[in-house]
Amino acid sequence: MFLPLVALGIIAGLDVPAIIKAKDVSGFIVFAVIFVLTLIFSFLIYYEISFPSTINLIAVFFKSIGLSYE
Amino acid sequence: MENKITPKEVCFSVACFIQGSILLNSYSIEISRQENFITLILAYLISIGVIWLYAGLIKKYPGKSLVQINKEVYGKTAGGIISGLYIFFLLSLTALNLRHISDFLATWIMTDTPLYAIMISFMVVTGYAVKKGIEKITSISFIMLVASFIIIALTVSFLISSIRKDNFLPLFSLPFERYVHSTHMLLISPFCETVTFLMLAPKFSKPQKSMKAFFFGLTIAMITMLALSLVVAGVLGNAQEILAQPIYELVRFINIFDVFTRIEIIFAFFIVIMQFFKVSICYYASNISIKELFAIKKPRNIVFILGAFIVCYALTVFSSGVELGNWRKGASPFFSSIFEILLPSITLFIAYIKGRKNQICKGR
Repeated sequence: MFLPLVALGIIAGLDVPAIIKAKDVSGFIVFAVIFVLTLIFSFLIYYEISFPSTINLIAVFFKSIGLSYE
Repeated sequence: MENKITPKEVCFSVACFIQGSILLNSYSIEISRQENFITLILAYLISIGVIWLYAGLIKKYPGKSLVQINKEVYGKTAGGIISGLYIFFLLSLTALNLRHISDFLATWIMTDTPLYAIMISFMVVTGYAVKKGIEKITSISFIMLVASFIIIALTVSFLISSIRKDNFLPLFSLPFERYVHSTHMLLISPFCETVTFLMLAPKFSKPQKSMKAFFFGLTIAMITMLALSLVVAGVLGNAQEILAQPIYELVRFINIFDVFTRIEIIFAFFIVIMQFFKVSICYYASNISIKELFAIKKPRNIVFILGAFIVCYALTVFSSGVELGNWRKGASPFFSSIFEILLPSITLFIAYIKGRKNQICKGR
C-alpha cells in the first residue's frame, strides 16, 4: 500500500497548492472526490478484494433486457 | 490569440483517433471472418450519416461543447444528468482503451511486466500531453498519420505477394445476423467513437467546416483499415478467426530475404502511437467535460488525479482480456449506441424543433 500512497501523495502535492492558490472551490471538491475514490480503488486492488465491475453490471443489465449479442 | 484546431488538424486527428482502434478489428473478424471488409465498408457508409448528426450539432451551436449543448437543449437539471452520463461514458472509453493497449503490450511484447506498470507509464505520458493542451496533441496528428501511412504501406506491400484470391471465398455466405452484428460493432467502435470530438468543438477554428473535416478523417482511416483488412483476409482466409490478434500475428510472418525478420515491433510501435493519440483525446474530453459540468476554473489541476482514477478503473473493469472481448462483442454495441447515436439524434431533433419554434415566434 506504500507505493499507491506515495503516488497519490505526489499528485496531491503537485496539484492541491495550485487549486488553493486559484481559490477554486469546485475544483477542490472535485479533486477531493476523485482522490478518495482512487484511494478506495487502490486499497481494494492492493489487498485483492474483489468487487463488481461497473461495466460487467451494465453488460448483465443489457443482457437481461435482451440488448446484447450472443 | 487563443490557439485553435484547424479543419485540417481535425481531419488528421479523426483519422488517427479511428486508427487507434485497429486492434479492435480482431473482434469483428471473429464474427464476419474473411468478409470483414464488407462490414467495414457498410459501417463506414452508415457512419457518414452519424457524423452528419455531429456536424449538425456543431453547426447549430458553434463554439459550444457537448456538455454546454446538453445544458442548452435539455435545461440545467436534465442536461446535467445527461452530461454526467457522458462523463461516465468518456471515462469508460478512456479506461477501456487503456486496458486494451496495456493488455496487448503485456501479452505480446512486455510479457514479464505487470499490467499496472504499463498502465501507469502510459497514463503519465498521456497525462503530460493532456496538461499541455489539446492543440498540442492535435498539432502532431499529421506527422502521426504520415508515419502510420508509411508503416501500413510497407506492411501491405510486403504481404501482397502472399494474398490468395480463394481466401476471400465464399462471399456472402454468412447468416444475415452476423453481418448486422459485425457492422454494428465496427460502426460503434471505432467510427462513431468520434462523438468524443464534440467535447473539443469549442476549440475548432472553423466549426462550419467540421462535416468536411470529419468526413475526410473518417475516409482516410477507412482506407487504411480496409487495406489491412483485405490483406489479413487475403493471406489468412478463415484462419484469421482463430488468431487473437490476426493483424499483428500476420506482420510476424514478414521475411525480407531472410535479412529483415520479426519486424512486428515496428507495427507494435504504430499501434502504441495511435492508441496514445486515442487515449489522449478521450482523457482530454473526460477532463474538459468534468470542468464544464462542475465549473472548475483550471481543469489542468485535476488531470493527474483523474489519470490515477482511470488507471484504477482500467485495472478493475475486467478480470481478463477474454471478458473485455465478450463485452466488446456482446452488450457494448448497444450501450455505446445510446451515447454515440441515440442521444445526439434526440439532441439535434429537439434543437431543430426549438429553432423552428423560435422562428415562428419571431415571425409573429
